[in-house]
Amino acid sequence: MTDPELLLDDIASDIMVADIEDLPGLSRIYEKFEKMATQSKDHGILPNALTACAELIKKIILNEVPDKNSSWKVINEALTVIQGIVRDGHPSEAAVFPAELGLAPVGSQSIGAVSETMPEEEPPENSIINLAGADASLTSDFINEAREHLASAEQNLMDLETGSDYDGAINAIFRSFHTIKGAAGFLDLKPILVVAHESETLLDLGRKGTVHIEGALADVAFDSIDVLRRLMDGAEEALAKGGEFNGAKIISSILKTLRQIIKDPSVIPVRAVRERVGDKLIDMGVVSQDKIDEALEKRKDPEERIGETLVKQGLVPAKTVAKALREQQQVRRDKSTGATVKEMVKIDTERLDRLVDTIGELVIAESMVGQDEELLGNASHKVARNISHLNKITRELQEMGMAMRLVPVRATFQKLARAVRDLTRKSGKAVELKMYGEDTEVDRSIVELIGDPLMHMIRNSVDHGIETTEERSKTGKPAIGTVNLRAYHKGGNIHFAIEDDGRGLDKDKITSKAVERGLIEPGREMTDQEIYTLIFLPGFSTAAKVTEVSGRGVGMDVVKRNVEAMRGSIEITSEAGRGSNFIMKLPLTLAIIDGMLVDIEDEKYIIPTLSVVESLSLAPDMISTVYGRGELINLRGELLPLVRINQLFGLYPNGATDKQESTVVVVEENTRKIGLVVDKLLGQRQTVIKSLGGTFARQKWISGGAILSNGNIGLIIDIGGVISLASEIDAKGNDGDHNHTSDPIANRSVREFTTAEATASEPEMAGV
Amino acid sequence: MNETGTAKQKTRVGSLEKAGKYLTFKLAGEEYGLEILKVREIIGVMDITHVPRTPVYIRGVINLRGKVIPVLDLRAKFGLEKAEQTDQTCIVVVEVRTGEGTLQMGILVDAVSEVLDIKGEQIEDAPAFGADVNTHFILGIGKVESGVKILLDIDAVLTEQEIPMLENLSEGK
Repeated sequence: MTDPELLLDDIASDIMVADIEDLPGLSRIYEKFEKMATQSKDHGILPNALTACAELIKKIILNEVPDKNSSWKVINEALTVIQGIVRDGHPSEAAVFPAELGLAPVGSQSIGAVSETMPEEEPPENSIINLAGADASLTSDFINEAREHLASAEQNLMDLETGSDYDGAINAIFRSFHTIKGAAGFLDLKPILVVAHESETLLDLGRKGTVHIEGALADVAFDSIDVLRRLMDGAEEALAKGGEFNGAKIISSILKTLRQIIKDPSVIPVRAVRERVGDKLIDMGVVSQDKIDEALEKRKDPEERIGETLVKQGLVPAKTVAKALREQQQVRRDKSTGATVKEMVKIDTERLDRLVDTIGELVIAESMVGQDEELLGNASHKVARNISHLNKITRELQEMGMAMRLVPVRATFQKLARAVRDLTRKSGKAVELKMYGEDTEVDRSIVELIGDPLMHMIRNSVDHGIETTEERSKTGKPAIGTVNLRAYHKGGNIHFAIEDDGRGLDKDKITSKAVERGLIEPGREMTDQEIYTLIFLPGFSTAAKVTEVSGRGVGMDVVKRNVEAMRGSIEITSEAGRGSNFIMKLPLTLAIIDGMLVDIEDEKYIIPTLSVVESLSLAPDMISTVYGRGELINLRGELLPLVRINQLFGLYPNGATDKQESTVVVVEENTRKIGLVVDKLLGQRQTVIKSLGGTFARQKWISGGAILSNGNIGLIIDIGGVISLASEIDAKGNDGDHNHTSDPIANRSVREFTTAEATASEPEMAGV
Repeated sequence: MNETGTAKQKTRVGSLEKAGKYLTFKLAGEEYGLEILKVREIIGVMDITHVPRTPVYIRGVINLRGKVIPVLDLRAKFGLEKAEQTDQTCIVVVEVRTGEGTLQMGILVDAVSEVLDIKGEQIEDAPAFGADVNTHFILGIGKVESGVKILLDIDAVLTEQEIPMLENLSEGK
């Protein structure tokens, strides 16, 4: 553990136990943040984040923040992100800090600035919600949540006017706006952010007692809620079409009103901005904002409705105003029916898992009944029909259950698209990201884990792979570089391929760099694949210069570690000058798998169908041996090593050792083919992989268990694991341990158990 | 080994802490006890799927209502003779604490007997038997009217020993 790590843990535990009112405790945390900030000068955004945390704590201590608890939450969130960087090696560039910390994407402001800064003019970009390439699920979650907050703010606002608990209500409204503001800042939804911010400022004045929120002021607050609602609608619309929504018309008047009040609370506008007929008319293009303002200034009776004013002043015909009014009513009615994107219910994942497990049990119970010979023998037509009906419903339920666990990778991909856009802007390269297979479904647990490694690899491709525009035009390539991101199922795995048409990996450069860094000895013969894997070594980076994005020598090794933690692998192919292809292969873990059910020594195993190339029955004369041990078969000119699963797994024959019949299943993994010798093929099965749990995590030759139709468990063979196990054993078998050549694995595994475990299991072993 | 060290330091107070309800079961003619709070359920023996290249005392895995859980053969674990399965043989599903959280495991026993309320003063620390008998799985020995019950520290039985074992295996040492 490094010093910053220790210090960070120290801070984390302090924060955990600290009380928000415990000032000495807080100041200790403040000092530690400061200390850590000075210690971690070379960590990108880290020192800034640490300093920002320290500042925020200072503000909490000095009572300068509007809501201590929410600021405290911000610090907690920030700490989690910092921990991610320091302890787990997340890239600091990718870190997303809470908006309130003041480090987040542009547009957000720190809490301390809430009641101080107040831009006079609204820059045009502040009116635009751009959701092209935004994370759909995140944004729609935000929209749904914001609507809930607005509804509760509205309710509280009504309570405020009628009820007695003024302070409680106003604090609640403030919090609602504050939450919306924070999330909008995070998602870079500027119009929402700006309106929420100004409304919050107004409410803050109300909390401090500068103004009393009632009557006309409450109207303004109601209007803010309405405006935010319309912005939510707009955001939803923009999200649906993946484009922009211009909120300028919606927000301009409310912002004006809000800012006026904030600037001088004594000026309480009696004519609030509620009358949106004016906006409507502007929308319809019959009158301009200036004209309306002018008309408003000129009108004598302040209570007069704007439509009337405009008609009276002859600016707009009465009919048009009537139409606008009708449309306005229509909009209100539409809104009241509450047409939302999609009704969502949040379910605890544990419950979901339990449901799916129970469905699995139902399927088994159903098949036991359905295949019961006794029952089927005497079944009347009616019983048979009922059973088949039950079967149909059960299957349907099973499919639904399985689908519930799976989510498309789309959301993850969209985040990457966004990252590429930001990246190209920073690096000045023109890169187009093309995505394929966004609908490929992956288990929820994987989706959560692939984001970071994919982000790293995409960054790597954009930053190292794709050349600058000048370089590209020199080599006659299209000026815009392309990065293809694909997700697909293959070989019982899920593959993510990142392919770029950049400069490709420079083998010589990689080798010389590796030699220079002392990672390999000079003059070593290596295959292309071996050379490429060097880039995954810690401390390796070939980027000529360290950019903001990558080239710090951390990253690819982290990617590799993350992928390996998911029991996956990365394969690289590359052609100098033409581009590289990184393929990240991940197991399906909980996803559905098509498998070939096989019988080996009366035990049932499942071989992932996608790894299976073919199967053939094995005749003894097909086998050639090497050193009397290594067996291979000649399959149409291709020599395939044979792996006898029964020996490899140390399974002991129940009867005759000489099999009359056995079958070879030819499987492929990482372009390596081997033949697995099994006793019998029992057919194809589609099953859900169940984890065997941590107890068997190191049994890499088994990727999980599948529940078979009789309720028993069939183990799923991990082809990659079997190949490496076989070669490992083979390497040891060649050490010259001739006593065990007949059944080396079985004997060895027995020995392993007995030597490793001191308790008396020998009699047991000897009996085997 | 920590377990033995701390166990020796434990006084009467330690025994009082161990007082409580125990599920007792038979194993090769001996009576063992499990803290009842660790026991999730008792099920009849079902088909156990053998997992290759694991220690003998790992019988395999079973499907417990859609959940795959490992089953441990306590006879093999304690080096007792192998026995034929009878209709009394059953699997006690226990919840054990591991470093990462709790884990359900089945343990194969000859027969379950009863649930006993054992008082603190009835529990003694396991005597030292020398190197042959490993006592760090033993929470204490309960002396009750019907005889002596060996009270197991099931967390120690199921976790500490086998994890390094499995690691060794996969590394092929």
